[in-house]
Amino acid sequence: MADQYGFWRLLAEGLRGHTGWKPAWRDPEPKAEYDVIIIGGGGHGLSTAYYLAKNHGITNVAVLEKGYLGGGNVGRNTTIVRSNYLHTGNVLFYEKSLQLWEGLSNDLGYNVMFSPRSIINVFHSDSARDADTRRGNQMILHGADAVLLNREGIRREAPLVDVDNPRFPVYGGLKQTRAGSARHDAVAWGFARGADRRGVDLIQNCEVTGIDVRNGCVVGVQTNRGPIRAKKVGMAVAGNTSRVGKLAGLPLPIESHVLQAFVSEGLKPMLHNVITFGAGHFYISQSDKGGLVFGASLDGYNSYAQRGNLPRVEHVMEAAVSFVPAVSKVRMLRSWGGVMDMSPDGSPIIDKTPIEGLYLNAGWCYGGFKATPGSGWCFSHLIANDSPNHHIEQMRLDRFETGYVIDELGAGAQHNLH
Amino acid sequence: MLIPCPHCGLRPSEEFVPKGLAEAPRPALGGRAKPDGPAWQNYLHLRDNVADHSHEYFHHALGCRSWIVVHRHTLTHEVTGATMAADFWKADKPAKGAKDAKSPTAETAEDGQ
Ligand SMILES: Cc1cc2nc3c(=O)[nH]c(=O)nc-3n(C[C@H](O)[C@H](O)[C@H](O)COP(=O)(O)OP(=O)(O)OC[C@H]3O[C@@H](n4cnc5c(N)ncnc54)[C@H](O)[C@@H]3O)c2cc1C
Ligand SMILES: [Zn+2]
Repeated sequence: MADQYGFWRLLAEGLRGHTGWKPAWRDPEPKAEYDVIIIGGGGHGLSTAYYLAKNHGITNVAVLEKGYLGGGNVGRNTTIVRSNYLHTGNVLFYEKSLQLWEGLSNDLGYNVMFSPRSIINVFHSDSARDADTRRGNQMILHGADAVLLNREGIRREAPLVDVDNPRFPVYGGLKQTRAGSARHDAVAWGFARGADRRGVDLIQNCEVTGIDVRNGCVVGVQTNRGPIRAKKVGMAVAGNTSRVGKLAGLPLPIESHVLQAFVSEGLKPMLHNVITFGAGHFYISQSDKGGLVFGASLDGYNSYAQRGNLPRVEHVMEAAVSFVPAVSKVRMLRSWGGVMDMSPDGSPIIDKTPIEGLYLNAGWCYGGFKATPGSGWCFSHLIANDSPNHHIEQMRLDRFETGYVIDELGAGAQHNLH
Repeated sequence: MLIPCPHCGLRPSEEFVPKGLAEAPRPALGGRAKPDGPAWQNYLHLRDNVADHSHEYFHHALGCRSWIVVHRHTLTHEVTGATMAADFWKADKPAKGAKDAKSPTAETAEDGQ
């Protein structure tokens, strides 16, 4: 089965007009009851279902998706995968996730096109160099990899960067060699196929409209395709976390914001790493098809619309041209937006909730794609054992109340600071 | 997106810095009394975060530098009004989505300024 899309199969199908392909997963009717229901068929929901089956032997599982699999942020992001975080609570988790990425195509038998082409965070001042040196050391202490590059290193690695920019001269960069990018749709499809083959029901066009709670315990959900019972329910709905949380009466520390991304016409290879501009929030890489893929920060206002506004488009283009002037000659192809679940400290939450049997996976902000395998690995552990593994011990829901926040930016733990 | 600043009139959104949802009033400090934990948690972190009419703080950073509360729809991005933040938590707080008579809108503003 693992060779379903292998060379010989492709050749045979080519010769008979591609008439023999079968859907990669079933389209089952929802059953009346499951052991576990996962709400949300994005990357995190699908990987959670996959690891529930694979690591914990729990296969009587349904993933309920209101639209189609992979139609949310998992199919809308700029696909940067890295573990260059500063705080223990984050780096432990993201390094675990990166290690899973490294073996993911083999594990799934599906090419997710993980391409460890490295990421370089460029810095433009002495203090930023100090901060990145500290970050690099912290990463190495937690088992990740990091290299500090000087200005010549940036010239060598990314010759199109405007190193001598008079306003923001480049001093160097922090490089993580094992970081890179992956094919986002393939990640969703690979996890979906893997989960389906292990018996998980993937139910599309199935919106959860209510969460049934009795005596403080979850007993099931209401959907537009009827009620479904389950003793355990996991929420992995990214930008819609507050809306789904409200179905169970949960007040949550999340604000929804729009983030835009852009892709250019296809070009010959010109950028072989992922690079980020330190003087303005901006990141760029080149996809395998040749398009430049890039983005910057949130539009800033609260939004559930999967589209942004023009001032941010202008800002992103300005950052692009300041950082990599060659981009000024390039034509843009598309732009789009996705709804981000912003947590107060900018770090995720994977935890139990005050309702027994209801589990929360949220707060991914603009960084949850890289977390896809790690999130499913840890969330499935939490659901199966009703207790967290050590990678997510700090990703608690109550941390804003207790003060044990994971404040990666050092900006403070309030939504409007991220 | 145009924002009707109560002080400056209709101005482009680039002049403003959005500062998050205005959902709960700032709790009183209460002198020497122990701070009211749940009230602060509610004010600082917990959000209704609706996909509907909502109220958000904006700072008119490149204008009069007032803090205002903008009345916006988070699905359509339609702006229906704005209030000075200092007035917002007073008793006659406008209902979400209600057109605010005091603030200029696209129809009432004399010119685009
Ligand atoms: C423009 C952009 C760029 C990004 N760039 C990066 C990047 O470079 N690197 C990185 O690591 N991260 C990035 N991210 C973030 C990343 O995409 C997200 O954090 C991550 O995909 C969120 O997890 P998910 O895949 O499970 O979410 P989603 O794919 O959004 O899945 C959630 C699913 O829940 C479903 N749902 C919602 N409500 C209900 C309901 N009531 N019933 C049933 N189903 C429901 C939705 O339809 C959706 O399919 C970016 C995001 C955007 C928008
Ligand atoms: Zn003003």
